[in-house]
Amino acid sequence: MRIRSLAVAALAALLVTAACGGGGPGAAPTSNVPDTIIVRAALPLTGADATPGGFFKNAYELYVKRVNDAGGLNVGGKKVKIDFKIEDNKSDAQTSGQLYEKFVTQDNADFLLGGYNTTSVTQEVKVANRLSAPYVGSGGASSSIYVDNKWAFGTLASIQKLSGTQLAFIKDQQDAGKLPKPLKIAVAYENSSHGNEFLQGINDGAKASPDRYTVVFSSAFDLSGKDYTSLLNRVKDAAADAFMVDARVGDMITMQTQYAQLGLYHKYLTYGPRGPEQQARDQLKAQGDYIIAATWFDGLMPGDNVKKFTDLWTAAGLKSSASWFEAGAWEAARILFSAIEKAGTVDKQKVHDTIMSTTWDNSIFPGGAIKFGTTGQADNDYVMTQNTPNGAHILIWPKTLATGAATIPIPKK
Amino acid sequence: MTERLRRMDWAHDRGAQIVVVLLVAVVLAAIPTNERQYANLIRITFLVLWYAIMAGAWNIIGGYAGQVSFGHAAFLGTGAYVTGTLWQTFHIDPLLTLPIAGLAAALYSVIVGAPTLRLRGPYFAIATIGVGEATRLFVSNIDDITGQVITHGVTGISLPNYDPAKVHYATVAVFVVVMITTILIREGRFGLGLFAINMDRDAAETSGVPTARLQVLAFAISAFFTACAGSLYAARQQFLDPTTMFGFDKSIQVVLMPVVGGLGTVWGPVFGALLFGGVQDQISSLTRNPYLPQLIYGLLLVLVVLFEPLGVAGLLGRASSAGRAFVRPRRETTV
Repeated sequence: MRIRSLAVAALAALLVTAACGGGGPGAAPTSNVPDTIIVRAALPLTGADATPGGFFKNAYELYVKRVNDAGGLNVGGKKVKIDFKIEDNKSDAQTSGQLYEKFVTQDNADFLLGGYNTTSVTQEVKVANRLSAPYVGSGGASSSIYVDNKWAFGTLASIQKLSGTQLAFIKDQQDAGKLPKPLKIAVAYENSSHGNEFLQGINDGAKASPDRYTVVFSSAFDLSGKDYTSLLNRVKDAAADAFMVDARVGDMITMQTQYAQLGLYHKYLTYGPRGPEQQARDQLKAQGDYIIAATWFDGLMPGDNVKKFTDLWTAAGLKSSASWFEAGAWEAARILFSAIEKAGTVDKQKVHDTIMSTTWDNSIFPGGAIKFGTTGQADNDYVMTQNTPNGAHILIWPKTLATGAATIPIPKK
Repeated sequence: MTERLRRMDWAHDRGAQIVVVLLVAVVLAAIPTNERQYANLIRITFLVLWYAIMAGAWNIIGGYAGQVSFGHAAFLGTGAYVTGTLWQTFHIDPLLTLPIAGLAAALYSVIVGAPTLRLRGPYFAIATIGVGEATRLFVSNIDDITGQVITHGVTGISLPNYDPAKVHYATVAVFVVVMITTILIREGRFGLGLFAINMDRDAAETSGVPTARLQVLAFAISAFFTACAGSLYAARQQFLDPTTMFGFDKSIQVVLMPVVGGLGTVWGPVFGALLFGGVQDQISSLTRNPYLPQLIYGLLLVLVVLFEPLGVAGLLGRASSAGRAFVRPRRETTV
């Protein structure tokens, strides 16, 4: 009797579990076009990355709204609405991975749009590959994300390429006599694969051209730090000509504030892809002047597509100007939904193959087109910016896109 | 609470409990792993069992012996990283590394536990917080300190794909082993010693209970199984980073599940895991609010602390005779 009671209760508990996770029949790949397609994304809407997460959300939702308002996607001659939902991953990588798994197994999501930050995106890409779900994102640029990858696509070019772009610009300035040869560089990088690849790119450049670049100092720092004065004092002792940092926006603001307070000066100062963000300009004010950045998109870039995008943004009243966060998310959504239309089916394999094989023209990214490499990562050029004293910024590199002359060396204050 | 557990002396048959565990395992193992329509059930089963393994393991030291550890993420992470490293570097099948990962964590727990388990009450808890955080920082920075690639620092370890069916069966197997171990410990002399320490360490020592040895052994067994959970995570998620694996939030979760489910009971950690893993997952799905489940869980915790120290298991015990079987007390054993 006792055994039976225990067994009944245990099975009851199991049934509760089963009922909780029942889920309907799976969305097996099919050539039949449904009335709606299910697309999901997990973003950091709260926590440390809530600000960029909000930018991604705006871009995804605006794109989906425009498609649905126009009647939906044209898939094989049939109008298909997008059932799109975003969930908050609390800026936590494990939560993000679990959410993406749930999207596919429980929500029966057909396609996935990517989240933000290297660690979260790495988890997400693992899930996409494990469950064979097409995933397009723009929240992770580290090449390590795309190792052994098949199903995920990233619109951001690699961080090592970012370092390489900055070194190419420095070379040009050296040739113009504006920076010394070799340039003594101090590097500080966030303790992540993003930061490691930034350092790796600079080290590779220094190894290839020792007559031009010498790394005299390098050190990692933890994310979301409050006090960088110890690090900055060591940078000061290194007596470098250039200070090259890889940091997230919040860390850049903290570090640059302390950099100014300690009275540090370098002929060349960069925070990797950060610098012209409105949040940084507002908080740093004059302390943010002359910072150089290499980024994946800037609203000052020429071209009809960029203008249409920035106008759309202004018209939507979301922000005065869209940054690379929104631009990347927009491109991810554009490529995924365009691929579904082009493939004429919601078959995952066919949509995947279409994304991989197509050169995505009409892009707002530098070069005007996106083509994914064999790893699934795009390889577009970067555009470089420099903050100006009036709270704005200009494009300084490549020369074909420049809207003004770079102020190099940075003037002493 | 310990006295209540001791007094509730019925349902002595440990064999019956083991039979129930085996029945549960058979049902779970019977879930088809290759059919898409069961993918969600497999996902939730892993989530619940994974938490149940950790909670059950923690219950040995925290529930039976009364030593509240807030540093179990150190063992979870150790297990995950040992498996990750052996898998990535030496291409050893991740499931074969479970014993090695468990032993590594057990050894670590002995090194840590030998001095810290002499501390009492909150001092041990505080010491374990320090151990957990120190371990996280060590793993995050060891590559920079040594100049060698060992843990890949904050970057984390990206692992190859692995058959999810194998992970499912392995998780069920580890769950069975943990449950049977906790049943046997609880009913045996070892468990009696741990409960004696829990009630009054001085009295236990005076009565001849080797308190230091039993606590260190309980801590090591607990660490072993927690590390096995870490290994299973590595095999399933295929990506490890120190913040996720060694994070303080993991240590807190491991404590909360047995407390809400039923501290010191065999099935309490399972109920806690079911609530923490399965029910929370579904509440957040329904509400699309990741914080609501935490709020509910927090309220449950407050209610447990105020009204029912034996948690969900205690509530079931109050409700019916069948439910009472889940708060089966320790069998009276003569030492």
